[in-house]
Amino acid sequence: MDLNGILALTSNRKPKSMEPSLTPSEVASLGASSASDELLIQALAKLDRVALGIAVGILFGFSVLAATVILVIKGGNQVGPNFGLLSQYFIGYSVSLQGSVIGLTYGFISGFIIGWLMAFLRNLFVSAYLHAARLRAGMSSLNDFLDNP
Amino acid sequence: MLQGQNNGNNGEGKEVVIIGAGPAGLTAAYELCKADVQSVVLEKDNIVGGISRTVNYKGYHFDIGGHRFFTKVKAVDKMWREVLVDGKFLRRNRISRIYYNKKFFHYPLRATNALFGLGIWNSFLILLSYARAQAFPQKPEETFEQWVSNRFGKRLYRIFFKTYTEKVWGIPCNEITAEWAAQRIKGLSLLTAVKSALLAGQAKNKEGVIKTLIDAFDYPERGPGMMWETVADIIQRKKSRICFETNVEKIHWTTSRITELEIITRGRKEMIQGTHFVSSMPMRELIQKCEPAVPEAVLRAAEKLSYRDFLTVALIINKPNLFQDNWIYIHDSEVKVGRIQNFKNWSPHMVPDPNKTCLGLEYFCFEGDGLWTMSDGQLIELATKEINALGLARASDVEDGAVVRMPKAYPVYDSVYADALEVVRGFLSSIGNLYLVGRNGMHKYNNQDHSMLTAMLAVKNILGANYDIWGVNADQEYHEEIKSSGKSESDELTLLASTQPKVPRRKVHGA
Repeated sequence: MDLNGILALTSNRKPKSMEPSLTPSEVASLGASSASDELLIQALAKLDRVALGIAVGILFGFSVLAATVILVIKGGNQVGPNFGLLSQYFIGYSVSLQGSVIGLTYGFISGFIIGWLMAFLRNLFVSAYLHAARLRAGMSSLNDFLDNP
Repeated sequence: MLQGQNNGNNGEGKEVVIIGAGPAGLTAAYELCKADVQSVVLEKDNIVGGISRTVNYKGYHFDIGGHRFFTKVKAVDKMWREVLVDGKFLRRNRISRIYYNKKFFHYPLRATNALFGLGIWNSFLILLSYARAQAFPQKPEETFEQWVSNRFGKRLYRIFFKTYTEKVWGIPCNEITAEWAAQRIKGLSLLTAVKSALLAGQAKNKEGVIKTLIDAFDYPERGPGMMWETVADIIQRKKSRICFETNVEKIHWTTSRITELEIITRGRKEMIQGTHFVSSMPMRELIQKCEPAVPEAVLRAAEKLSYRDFLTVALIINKPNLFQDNWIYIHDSEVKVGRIQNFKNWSPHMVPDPNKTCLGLEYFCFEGDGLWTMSDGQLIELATKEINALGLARASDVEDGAVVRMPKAYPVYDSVYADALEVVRGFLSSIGNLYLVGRNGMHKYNNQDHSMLTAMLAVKNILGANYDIWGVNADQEYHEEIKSSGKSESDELTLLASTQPKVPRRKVHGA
């Protein structure tokens, strides 16, 4: 369970599949009263790991596909000598039409992993921040507890 | 100082008898004087102020519990400023700490101070305990212990909540209801928390000035008693009377009115009549003194109202300075003392000799228990031993001591109190010329300003208004911080009510 899950659990609210760092019910309960509140809530909204993975994967995959196809169309004595070095990482890749499809697949997979990790780390950071803020708020509520036990 | 202002109300023909010369009773008398209504105040002690008195022992003044003067209601603040003029109020910065595990921690808590003070390993364990509580909260959440542990982790609960709460209330934390914890510990909303985290440091520079008891407060030069002694002088100059060492023995009543009181002053019995009666005496005693006796069910209900008592042992120490705090909370189960006041740090005028210090060691107890029944000498010996054990002063530096016992300092909200109070209130509400005010008069954990408010409202009612004195404090939450802003009087009365703390309720087993 990641921190967002824990956060949702402690809030007695079930995590949603497209949950933000603030869950929808939490967002609703926040009762944003101003545009700045809305902005803050949006800024803290949780990134969907799969969605960002797919988005970055598509971007990377089609970038590799497009770059490969352009190099193939450009032609020359030695087609894409530098880009071809990708084969060091993408086993089976070459600067060719067939390679462009393989590059699309590799690009998508690596982009997906990068996007997923970016979303995961960002959510982790925001969750930790929210936890700290929540704990601090909890501690501030103790400011008068002992004075009037 | 006092101006006769009737506000259109009729004070003529009213003879008001006030039981108790604490903040509520004296405020009632003061307000009546303003309306040109004379009153008689009956006080069983030989000093005014109730729990807000200042005790004078060989020129050393001490305050029973430490009373900060801070209120959110203009009416109360106005009265304070009317009474104590010419710089009699000192502005004091608050310094208080928690003593735990032979170390001191700032209170209100500061994260870095707490973490460094507790040590890296302990801090790590606290974080682990917090994470565990967040991941696996205890269900169901029925007790104070469970409620706090679920939010802060077991370790923080044990450090900052358990010992002191149990000392104050004499109830194990696993027997106090979770409901009380939820009422007393109100956190900020997550959004507010995030905003305040992002805007930390900027809020105080903004338009809304944050007034808070946490940072600073006003204090009369010679303690809270100075306020009430001055009020007593004022009302006596206005021809109202205060009868000291006067016990109310019997309260004669008919179906709808109190007719007269039987009082004994220094052995002399007397009957005293009035048109209106304001009572700040403990509700239980009030019922027990009714003549003829009240219905059996009411009497039984009144007997269920209980109180937490309190005693202060003042130690005079031959040292000019011991520590900078106004007071220190003692979170240490090895000693019985709950809190230590350094009266000189409240006001330098509290101590006659600048080379000496006067500390007040506060013990929470029940009337008749082991602590309460100890002799003064034994209590001074115990306090000396404990102050030495805590390392705050050496036993050999303690020159002298005095003990003040304060019965019925706090009304206890146990599992039976609410039903009992309802029965008693129901009965007393049928007595049209009786007005209940103050902490014990209403069996409500009122602060000084709230007690004053109830008296102000009672006087308004005597003069013809119709305020619900009981309604002002219901289901409100406590916050010491509030932004100053223009508010109507009724808003302020409600606001004042919101400042009143709740007291714990014992969990009913098997419920």
